[in-house]
This record gives sequence, structure tokens and C-alpha cells, in this order.
Amino acid sequence: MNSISGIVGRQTLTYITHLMNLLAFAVKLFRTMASAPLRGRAVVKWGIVEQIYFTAVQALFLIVPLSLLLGSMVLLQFAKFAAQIDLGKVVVILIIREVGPIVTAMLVILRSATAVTIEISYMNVLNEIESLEMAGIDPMRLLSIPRFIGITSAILCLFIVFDVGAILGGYGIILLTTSIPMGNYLPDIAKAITAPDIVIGLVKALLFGIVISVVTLYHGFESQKRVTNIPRGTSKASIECFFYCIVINLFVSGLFYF
Amino acid sequence: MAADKNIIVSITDYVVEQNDCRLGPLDLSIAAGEFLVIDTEFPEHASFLLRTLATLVRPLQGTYRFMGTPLRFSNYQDILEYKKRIGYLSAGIGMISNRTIMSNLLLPRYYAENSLSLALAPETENLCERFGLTGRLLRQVTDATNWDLRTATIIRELMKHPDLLLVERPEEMVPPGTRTVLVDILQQAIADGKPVILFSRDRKFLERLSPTGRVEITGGMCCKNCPDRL
Repeated sequence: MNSISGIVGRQTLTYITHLMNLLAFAVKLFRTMASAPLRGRAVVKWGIVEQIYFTAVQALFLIVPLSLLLGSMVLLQFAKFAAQIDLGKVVVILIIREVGPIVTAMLVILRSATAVTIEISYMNVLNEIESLEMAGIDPMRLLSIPRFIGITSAILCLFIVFDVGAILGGYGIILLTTSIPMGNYLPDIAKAITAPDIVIGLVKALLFGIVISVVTLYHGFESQKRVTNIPRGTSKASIECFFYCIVINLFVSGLFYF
Repeated sequence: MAADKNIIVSITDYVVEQNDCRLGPLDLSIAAGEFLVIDTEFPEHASFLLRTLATLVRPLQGTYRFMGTPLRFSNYQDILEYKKRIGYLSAGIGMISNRTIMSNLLLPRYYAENSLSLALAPETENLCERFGLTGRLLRQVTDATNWDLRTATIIRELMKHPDLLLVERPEEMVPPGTRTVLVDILQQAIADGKPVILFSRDRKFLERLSPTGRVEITGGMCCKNCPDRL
């Protein structure tokens, strides 16, 4: 039973069970959202606004400089080959299709997803979730729905901010600080960008938001009232989020572009 | 034995397990107006039993009936309505940390009434006044003292107007100066015909109340890996 095949088999079964649990949690979350959607809507709305503030508004101070740096970095690298390549196409492929959604997701994972797992885990350990239940409040509705909607919509908004910042801000920085000729950059971008590029970027951001919020909430609720489980759960949640985002990114790109 | 129509909670052939501690099979009926005291050497056993009665522990087997209705533990959402009807006064039940004491007290109403522009009900204000909490209602939970938080928990649970009151170590929930208030409230609840189950290690506290009985432990309850039997 301790042979390599045994270990691999057990690990595979554990992983499949975990995926099934995640799926079941997601179904439960969607069912809670769909059933009696008006129940407790005032507190849920309050939670959504707070979550958007923490995940999107406060993250602007990070995403804007990050987008400027990455945008100007990409332009610096490829502007030299502007004669040989279509700079607009390169920027669209790199920033809108690939880098934008992934960088936004990474930022949200590092800043907010870990915070959500820790927060829910502590609420679990400190019996705050039981306290909500004793008050007749559904913790899934009060805690999960605002975080789910907040994180998902925050990623969508941050993705747009990142793209605009990287394309226009990067262009501005290069124009102001270097003598690289950028004459046709903006018309090239306008020519290269298509509606599917934007839609696919948004689809990716939406899927990342769903996955990140489901995984972080699941690990938060699964902490089993042990403080020692919190760092382990948080680390596992962030790694899983990042991995699933990469897989989704590849899958969506493969589906639409090849 | 009270008439069946007066039974508030009855559990039959009930087995629960938590952290390797098993309790049961339990058979227990609590009728309106009963005031039962749990007698055990081990506070964690009493806590486990009270948590079980508060429906916070999912059973391995058995039936839990609340006013005659059998509860389905397969979906926690189905039990929320019943949890609301049980007042569980325990230091183990926390408040939501990122809110003020006031918003914690208002949270059940925010949720039920779909509005955030609510003020404390006069009855709640009265309880806050009696427990000396009025001046500290706007404190964040993280800045409040344990006494304040536990007192707020008592007020929040009492404001549910529960059909059953479970009280765990009340001497640890309110500061010595306001213990009389809690005793008065419990006496009033008993006089109003509400069943109360209490565990306390403070003899003085128990002497001020007059239990109508004790939770019978006749070997039916046992703890698998606990230091002793309940």
C-alpha cells in the first residue's frame, strides 16, 4: 500500500474529493444567492460595498503604479522592434489578453483573498459564525455573498483599470522619459484591438473572480475551529487560487484563440 | 412529567460527537416552566450538552424535536429558524469583531427587517441600561472588554425572546456588580413559563435561583475519550 502507485492513487483521490467539495461549496453559494434573494439584502449590500472598497478602491494605489510600470516595461522592450513588429498587436496580446487578467488576479489574491480566508477562519475559530447562526442569520448569505460579489466585481474593475493604465500610462511614460519614436502607437492599438479581445479579457477576469472567492471562502469555512489551521488554510487557498487562475487563463486562451 | 403539549424540546436516542468526545444516547424532555440545572464535574461536558441543545452540534443519530417539530440537520439553513428561538447565554458565543457593539445588537434586525436605519428597541435600551452598557455601545468589538462583550451577548440572546434559555456559567458572563440583574432576568423568565437549563459552578448563584430539577444522567450519556463520564 505504500508503493509509489498507492501514494499517487491516494493523493489523486484526495485531490478529486477536494475538487468535489469546492464544487459543492460553489453550488451551495449559488443556490443561496438564488433562493430568497431579497432576504437580508440591506446587510448584504452593505457587505458588498465594504468588500468592493477593500478589494477594488484600496487596491487602486497598487494597481495604477503597477500598470504604469508593466505597460512602460512592455513598450520599452518592444518599441525597439517597432519597425519589424506590429506594436499595437503585441500590446493587445500581452496586456489585454494575458498579462492584464493574471496580474489583476495575482494582486487580488495577495491583497484580498488571503485576508478573506484569514477573516472567515478567525470568525470560525472565535465562534462568530455560530453566533450569527444563533441569531437566525445565514452565514453563507451574510458572509459569502458579499465577498463573492465584491471580489468578482472588483477584479473586473481592476482589470479595466490595469489595461487602461498599462496601455495609455505606459505610452505616456515612454513619451515623457525616452526618445523612442511612438508615432503610430495609438492608431496601431486602435487597429489591433477587437471586441472579442475585450470580451475574453472580461470573461477571464470574471472566472478568476468566481474561482478566487469560492476557493478563499471554502478554506475559511473549512478551518475547523483550530487556530493552527489558519496559516495552512490561507497558504493553501492562495496557492490554489493562483494555480486555478493560470489553468483558466490557458484554457480560455486555448478555447478562443486556437 | 409535564404534559406533551408543554414540551418545548425533546431529544430521543440522541448521539453527538465533537473533538473525540461522544455524548449519548440521550433522552431528554424539557417542558415549559422547567428550570433544570446540569450537575457535572467537568464544565466542558455541560458546555457540550448545552451546545447540543442549542442545535450547534449535528447528531450522529437520534431525533431532536422543537415544540413537536423534528429538526432536519442535513441542511443547516433549515435549522436557523429554530436556533433563533433558543437563547444560548455563553461566553463561548462571540460577537462579530469588525462591528461596534451596537451594530452587533442590531444585526439580527438589520437582517430580518432589511434596513440599516434602525435604532435600538426601547426594550434593548432598557437592558443595556440595567447592565450598565449604554455608554459603551459605540465601541468596536475589538476595543471592548470581555465583560462588555459577554453582557452584549446576553442582551442579544434575550432580545430574541427565546422559547428556551440555555445558560452556561453565568457567573463568568456578567461582572459581579450586575449579577443581580441577570438573576432577576432568569427568575422572570422562569416565572413567565420559559424553560431554562443552566450550568454554573458558583453555588451562591445557584442558591439565588430555585431549580425544579436536574438533568438526569443515568448512564445513558457517556464520553468516549473524556476524563470521566458526564
